[in-house]
Amino acid sequence: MPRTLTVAASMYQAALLVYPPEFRREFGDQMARDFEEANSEAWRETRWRGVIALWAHTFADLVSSVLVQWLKSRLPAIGVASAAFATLSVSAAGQLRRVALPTPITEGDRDLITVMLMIMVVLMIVAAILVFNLWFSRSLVRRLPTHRRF
Amino acid sequence: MAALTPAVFHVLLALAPGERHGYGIRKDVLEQTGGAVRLGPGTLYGTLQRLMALDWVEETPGHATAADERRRYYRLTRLGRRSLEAEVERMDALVRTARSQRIVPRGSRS
Repeated sequence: MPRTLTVAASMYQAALLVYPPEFRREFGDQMARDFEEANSEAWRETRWRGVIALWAHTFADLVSSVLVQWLKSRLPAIGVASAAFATLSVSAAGQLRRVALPTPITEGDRDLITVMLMIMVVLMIVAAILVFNLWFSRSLVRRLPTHRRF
Repeated sequence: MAALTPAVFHVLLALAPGERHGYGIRKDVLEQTGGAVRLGPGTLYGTLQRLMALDWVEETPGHATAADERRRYYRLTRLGRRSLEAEVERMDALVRTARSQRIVPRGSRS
């Protein structure tokens, strides 16, 4: 069997990192094992023709199933929660500024304040995603010993 | 009951004779469909994940050997078998309806 197939198997194993961690932990080893076996079989039966068809099919499957798995994961919920949290925090900060500094804003300052608010929202969203993700991951790790069915 | 997706139906059908590992299921589906349905690894394990969450399929314990420790085996639960039977009944009723309307497969025409 050519070395290229061994390299392809290692590359596929590395590509599995794009799946959500929970799915990868559950099925990653089996998927890598299946790919190695499918590679060997394709090589035995039809050589490069079969191997290239297998790679093309596996790549297409990887792209579509990664998307499905991420949508099924908590990421969309975390994204919405983070955006809501960031928007609420920034608007609360705006209200506080109005109370603390009741001077009217000049036209020149308005653009600067808008840009700063937008940057703050983006930074808050990123920070909230990181915090929520870490929190979810930690609770997942804590559950792991009882997660398996047997 | 709503129709099962092709991936779910074929995975359940592949598991009907007995337990299989993931790659065995893929090969069985390919054979059952004459090569028409080729489940990719992501689709197959995503489907198995869904079926295990529904309690239609379960992992069989005690199969892992030192040489093949990455292999895991799956089997239908009673609920999974009932769902498969219900789907086959639904399809059977559809085929009977089609036949009553004189719609027959091309291969059966004389």
